[in-house]
Amino acid sequence: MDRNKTYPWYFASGALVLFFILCFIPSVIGIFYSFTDWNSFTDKVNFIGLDNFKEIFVKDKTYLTFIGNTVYFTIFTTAIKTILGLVFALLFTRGIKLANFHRMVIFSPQVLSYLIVGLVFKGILHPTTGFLNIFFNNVGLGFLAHDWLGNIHYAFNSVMFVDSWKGVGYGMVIFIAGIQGISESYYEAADMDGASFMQKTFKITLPLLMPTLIMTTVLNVTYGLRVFDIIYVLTNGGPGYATDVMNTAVFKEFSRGNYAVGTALSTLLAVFTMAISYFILKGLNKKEEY
Amino acid sequence: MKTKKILMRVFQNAIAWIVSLIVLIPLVVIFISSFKTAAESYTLNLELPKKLILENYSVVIEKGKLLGSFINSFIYASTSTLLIVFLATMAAFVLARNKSKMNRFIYYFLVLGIAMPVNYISLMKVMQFTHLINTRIGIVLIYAAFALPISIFIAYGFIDTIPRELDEAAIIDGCTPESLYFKVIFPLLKPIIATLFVLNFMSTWNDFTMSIYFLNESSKWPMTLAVYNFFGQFSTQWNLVCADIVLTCIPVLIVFILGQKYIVTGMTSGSVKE
Amino acid sequence: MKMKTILATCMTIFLTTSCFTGCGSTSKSTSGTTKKNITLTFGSHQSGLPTSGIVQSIAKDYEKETGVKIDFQISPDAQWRDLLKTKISSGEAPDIFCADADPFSLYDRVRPDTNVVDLTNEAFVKRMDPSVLPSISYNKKVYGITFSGYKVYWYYYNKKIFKDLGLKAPTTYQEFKDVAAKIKATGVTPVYEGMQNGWHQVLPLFETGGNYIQSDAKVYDKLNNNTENIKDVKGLKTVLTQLKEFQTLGYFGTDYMSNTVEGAEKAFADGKAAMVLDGFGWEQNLAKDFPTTKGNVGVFVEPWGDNKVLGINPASNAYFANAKSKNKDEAVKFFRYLAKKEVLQKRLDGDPNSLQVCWPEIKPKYPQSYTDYIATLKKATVVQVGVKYIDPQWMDVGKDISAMYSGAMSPEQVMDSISKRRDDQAKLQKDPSWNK
Repeated sequence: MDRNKTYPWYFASGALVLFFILCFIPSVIGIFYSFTDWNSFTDKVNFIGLDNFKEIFVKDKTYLTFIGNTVYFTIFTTAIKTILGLVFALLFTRGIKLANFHRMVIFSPQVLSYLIVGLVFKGILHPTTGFLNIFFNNVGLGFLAHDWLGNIHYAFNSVMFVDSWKGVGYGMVIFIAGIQGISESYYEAADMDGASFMQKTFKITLPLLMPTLIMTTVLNVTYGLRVFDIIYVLTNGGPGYATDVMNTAVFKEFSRGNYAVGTALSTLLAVFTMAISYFILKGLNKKEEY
Repeated sequence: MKTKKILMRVFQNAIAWIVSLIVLIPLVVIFISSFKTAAESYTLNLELPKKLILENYSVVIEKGKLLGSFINSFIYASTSTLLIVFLATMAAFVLARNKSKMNRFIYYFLVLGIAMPVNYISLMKVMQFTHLINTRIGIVLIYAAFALPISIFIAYGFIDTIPRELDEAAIIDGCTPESLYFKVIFPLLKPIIATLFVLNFMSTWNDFTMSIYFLNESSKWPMTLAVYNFFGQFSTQWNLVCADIVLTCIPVLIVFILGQKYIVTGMTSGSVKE
Repeated sequence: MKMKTILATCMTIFLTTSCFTGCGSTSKSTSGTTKKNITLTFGSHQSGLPTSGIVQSIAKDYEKETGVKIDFQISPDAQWRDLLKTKISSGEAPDIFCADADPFSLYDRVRPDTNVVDLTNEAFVKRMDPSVLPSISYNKKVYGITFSGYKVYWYYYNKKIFKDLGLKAPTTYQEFKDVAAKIKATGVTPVYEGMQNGWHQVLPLFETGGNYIQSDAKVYDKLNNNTENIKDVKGLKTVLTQLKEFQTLGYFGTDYMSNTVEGAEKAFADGKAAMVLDGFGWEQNLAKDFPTTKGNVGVFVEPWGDNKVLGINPASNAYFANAKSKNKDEAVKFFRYLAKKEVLQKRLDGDPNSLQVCWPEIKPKYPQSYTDYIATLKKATVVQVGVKYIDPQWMDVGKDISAMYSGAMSPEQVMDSISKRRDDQAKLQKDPSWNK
């Protein structure tokens, strides 16, 4: 059959046009500003080439810390959210009582805005009046009580925990859809051969979920690299600069009126994110191509 | 054997409850705080309110003009989500089935849009140019445009779960591309469509940045902005904020529950008929 | 079958949407033709309007009198600054907008010469306190109307704790230290600090500007002309070192990193903290939320660096009329209404967080004890209103101080950081005094 006739190009045209006009063009125009001295103090904008990028990589070393924090955050939260998302999806689809209820609970944090999540967790993680430490003290685990957001050693981990708390539901929902796509007949055959739950999981579910796993990983990675709201609202990059990431740096530059450097940073971030996503997709999809 | 199975079940259920409780606690804090007085709610904690102050909800609905903004939120979220679901699945379908060089390029072009930085100033200029600024259609289109990359990405990955043999069978039977898509493929994409619907509805519902930039009349604003009426420079009324949050969350949770019914259909709507 | 229902739903929603769109666009074109149909859009950030809703209620009175409606659009603080600039530069700004105003950033924030209605010749301008005019003027023209009275930050202290321990309100740093030590010995946190909000910890550094002026009367001018570098102003490093000492000695307690400014009331009322740094109105709010504290609160000026001068901050937010709007005359008429004596009084009465307005004809609400105490004090403008490139980096300084407390930065490094940011800002704004 003629592929081009059965799968006509115009099916994709709606998405292309909408994306191109309202998403692609404004972003590209925005990227041009990275090469100018655009700032909030004058309306004149001059082209200055790569000066902004020189400043980022050469002049100011703090930017490298932000990049490091961003990568660290991305790796850990992606691992947690992807693995836990999968575990919860598996846990809540096979014959648990009230599976629907549990799924809804795990998903509900997604429904809250970052603002309220930040506020509530600042309350919960407070060293003296916060629920977490009060709980630890009451069950005799007092040594576990720390200054979760204020101590430079715990702040980053606390932020990653809160982000995972909020984000795991997203991946779980996608994994559930993926699990539904696996035909029952595989499991029936395996049951007839006397396979255990573990064997079924590792030999059937996981391999067939590979595409979904890759997808969730890419989604979590692109989220992690571009994270902003949860950090802004929990610690604003603090204590000090311990939890600052790329996008909090972008926001800071915009606050100073230094729009050009801010845009340069976000362009860098976008390029970096796109490159990583592209390589993950290409690299892992090669195995799937027939 | 049987005891092992029962133990496993019990263990699974226990884990499920522990996890749910951990996740639930912050939500319970919000819920409880919505019934407290302002002074009680300053430090968000699990103490029960001395008295159930139900007026918080009526104050919030009135002061936050929640009735009108609820309708706005609903229109934006449902319309843009429907638009997204249609456009994304159609595009993902042809791009996944026909992996020509051109289509691969288009796919990467669309999907890398996930990482594109949003520049409000240039977006403002484009909106003015297209006369979409300060219109409800404009907001809906913006939400759709920015959600397309992720939705296409997700849909693309699932198209392959539908075997190509079905397409071939339908073509042999004389189907046009449109009827192939709408009559054969679309019904089988139910779990994906429901998933996309839930995820997109939720992210659109929660957005507020696009509205403050591109809608100049507060009568067109969604629910998410109402909460800022209760924050101030020197004092924040957490109790009202929490009441507002609870009201804002309920619709999305309802959508999720409804969506779950379509997502977890237990594979009787299987694809390959032996 | 299911397909049809989905398609049908889509149709309905598209129809409803287009109907609303139609409604939305027509209402915009009819406004401005007859007096009765005018709606003024008023854009502000959360912190720009009193939470009690008094301005909205005054607007309702105005609507009853004149038929002119005011549509309040309140945006989150974090987005407002950029949002406003974007809207102004693209011509989409509301008819009235509220913005933070200080003597240095008006041009940056709203480009008044091209976008804001010149109010210099309005009758109400003369009735405002002259000290607020520099914050709302540009090139000698007055562009805004403002209402908030000047702000101060001083220490509120628990009178009973002081009396029980035989303590007096400190006037020097050494006395402050001694008082704190005695209070700490009883297990009470001497000074409450809430760093979660990001700005509170910076107050002692810049609110004590009067103290720096005592050592050098021209220090503000020198800093603005770049004839002196801020890191060479000794007083600032002294305050930082003293703050660090307090923190190390545990006088801020143990939870200062996670505490919020809003949590101070409860800590004070529960007797867990003895001194709180806050502004006008805090004591009154405290009494409202925790009535047992009535009569138990005293005040004293911040003694960091042996400061005895009361730091005054006359700048706050102001309302501006959009010069490019077709409703600009109506906007100015609304300002005139807001400036009426009885409306000003109503505003002050209706806002529990404000103790005064910057209109001398209206009597302030604060107790006589404040008036008496303030009369005994020298007053000076705070650093962030007198010196360029300080206010924009306020939150950054907050982070530096947080780093200093956690040991990641020394007071010297904080001063260097402040100085560098000033230089960067000056160069970005192409300040001529920095081209040496």
